[in-house]
Amino acid sequence: MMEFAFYLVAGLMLLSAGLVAFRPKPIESALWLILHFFLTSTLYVFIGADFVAVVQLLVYAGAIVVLITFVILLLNLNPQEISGGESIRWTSTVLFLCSLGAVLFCLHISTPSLLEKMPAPGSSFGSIEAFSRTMIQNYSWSFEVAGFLLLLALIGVGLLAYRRPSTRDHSNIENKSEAA
Amino acid sequence: MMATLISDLQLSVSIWAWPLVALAVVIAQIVFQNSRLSFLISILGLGANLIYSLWCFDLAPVQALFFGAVIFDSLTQFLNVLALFIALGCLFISSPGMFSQDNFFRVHYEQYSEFLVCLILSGFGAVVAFSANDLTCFFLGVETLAIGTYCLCGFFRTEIRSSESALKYLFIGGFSTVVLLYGIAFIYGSTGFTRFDEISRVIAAGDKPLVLMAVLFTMAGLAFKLALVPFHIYTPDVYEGAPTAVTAYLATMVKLAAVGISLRIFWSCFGAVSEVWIPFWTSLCVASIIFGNIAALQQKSLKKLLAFSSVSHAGFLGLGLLLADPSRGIGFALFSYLAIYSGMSLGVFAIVALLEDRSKVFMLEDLKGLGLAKPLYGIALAILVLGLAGIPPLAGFMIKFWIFQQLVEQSYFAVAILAALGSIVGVAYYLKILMYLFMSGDSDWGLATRWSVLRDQIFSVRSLILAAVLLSLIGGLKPDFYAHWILTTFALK
Repeated sequence: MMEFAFYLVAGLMLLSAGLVAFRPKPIESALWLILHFFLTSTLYVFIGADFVAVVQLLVYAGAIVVLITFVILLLNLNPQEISGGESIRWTSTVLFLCSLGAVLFCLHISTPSLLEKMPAPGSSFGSIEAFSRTMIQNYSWSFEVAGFLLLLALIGVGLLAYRRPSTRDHSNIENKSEAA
Repeated sequence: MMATLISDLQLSVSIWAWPLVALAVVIAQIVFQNSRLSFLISILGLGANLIYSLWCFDLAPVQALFFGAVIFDSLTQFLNVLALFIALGCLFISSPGMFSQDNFFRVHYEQYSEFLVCLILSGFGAVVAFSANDLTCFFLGVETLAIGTYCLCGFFRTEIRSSESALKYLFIGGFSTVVLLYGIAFIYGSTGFTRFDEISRVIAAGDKPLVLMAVLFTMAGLAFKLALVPFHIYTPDVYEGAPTAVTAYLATMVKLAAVGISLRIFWSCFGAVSEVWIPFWTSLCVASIIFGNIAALQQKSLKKLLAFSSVSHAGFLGLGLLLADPSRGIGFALFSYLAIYSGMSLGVFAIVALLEDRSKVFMLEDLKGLGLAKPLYGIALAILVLGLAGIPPLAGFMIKFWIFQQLVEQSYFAVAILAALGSIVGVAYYLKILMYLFMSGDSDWGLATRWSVLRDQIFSVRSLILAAVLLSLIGGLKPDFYAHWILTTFALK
């Protein structure tokens, strides 16, 4: 039963991913992307990682897709403008499939021996309690560093996106410096 | 648990003092809105941290802090001190713009506090990255460093060259991050751990079909950061467009961080499979030394030339990595190369920053007559450039010599010969700079047009140049003094 559900969800994921890539209008792609994220979080539920599933929905389907939609609205792209040359698309597809095949082949060779070595997850694996315990103990330093990374990104955006308020202020500043 | 956390915090003051300084700058900027005050706070904060890390640390052998996420050994402390020196140097190089009456600088230096915060926090990212003992904080450190530098490159935001540099660096850097993350995913997927010591245990124990993929992707990601050939394509445009203080930062701090983290990840994680990665890594480094120098020969713009020169130096740093072993603190050749190379390039970029006319590209021809009109600057630039080239009595020769000596001792004969040939090619373009420098040309040097733009009111840049020249001279004639510093103070070998 689980196996059937897995293959169903996986097939739908492939389908929605294909639709994201090949729909001509970017906004349609964004909508299919939401479906794709929902299906991904279903997979996380299957392996018992509740927290990751919720975060996947909140962050990706919630925030990221909204952001993508905003960008599409702001850019107001013409469908013809974004369709590239066919030849480029085919080469990239072939390259991608080859590298994916190589990765899958490596995984196929190594997976059985890998799984034997790995410790089996405990009963609380993936629950929010286990997750938060790990987060504030083993990964407390990473957690703090991530905070500073976000602060840096915030200030960096301020640095790059700053515009002078208006020309009147500009002349004020000039007057002040001349007076000084 | 609380007690260990507090003792960990006490031990690692010199690491978390970085973001503390940045927070102080943020708060001071919100309250006082005065960029000179912010500059003062950053200099004092980083300076205090430097004094603390030079004199008030204890050399306990190896300490894993914060539940094993941070490794605080003598290597971390040494690299932290270098990072503090570099950050202070870049702050000094950027400071004259604060006092400039030129409209261009006045407009941009309204944002100087943000610039300082980005610089300090990205320095913190570098420290986090090379002190990491865990894949997550390793990656977060690399990202903090990278995001800070993307913003710094675009500091002159109304200028098209600076924005171009920021955008190119962002796109290529983002791509390299993805590649690095892919490598990290392979490491985690094939071992099931994020701590370096556990990863190396698993890799040493069993068969490892995925390790090759992990090694290749991680190496490609790190080679982007270190700008090794063929992952160096972004360097000329990014280095030229960025503000010169930031170019200095890219050529020193980013390389320092990249070498530090490569050292950790290759020897601590992949130490057991060194036969897998050494051939790839060596060929990248040798290619950088040869192609970096050949490409630099054809450059007409001074900053592009220095960019390619930094590519070839990155190759030497990479070769130094082969001779090191972080777990036992071995790698004197690499550490002295890092210290001296950083000092010399900070000096060169300080001179470039003072002489540069920001409204156009700094060409080699623009150097014509400088040595005659401004002999002190001419001689300083000559000494530093000869140092970078590796001409005998200077420090730049000693550091290359030690790398070659170690390479031969560990029987990398072919590598040593190729690297030597590459660096001989390099001498040609450094001599080209000297030729322009002392060639009589249009003698408009020292005229008000260029020198009024940047006035170094607090002598910061000039003292930095003096320090770099002294380092280059004394380090060559009497290498004992910094060898002693590395070997005894930090107990490295």
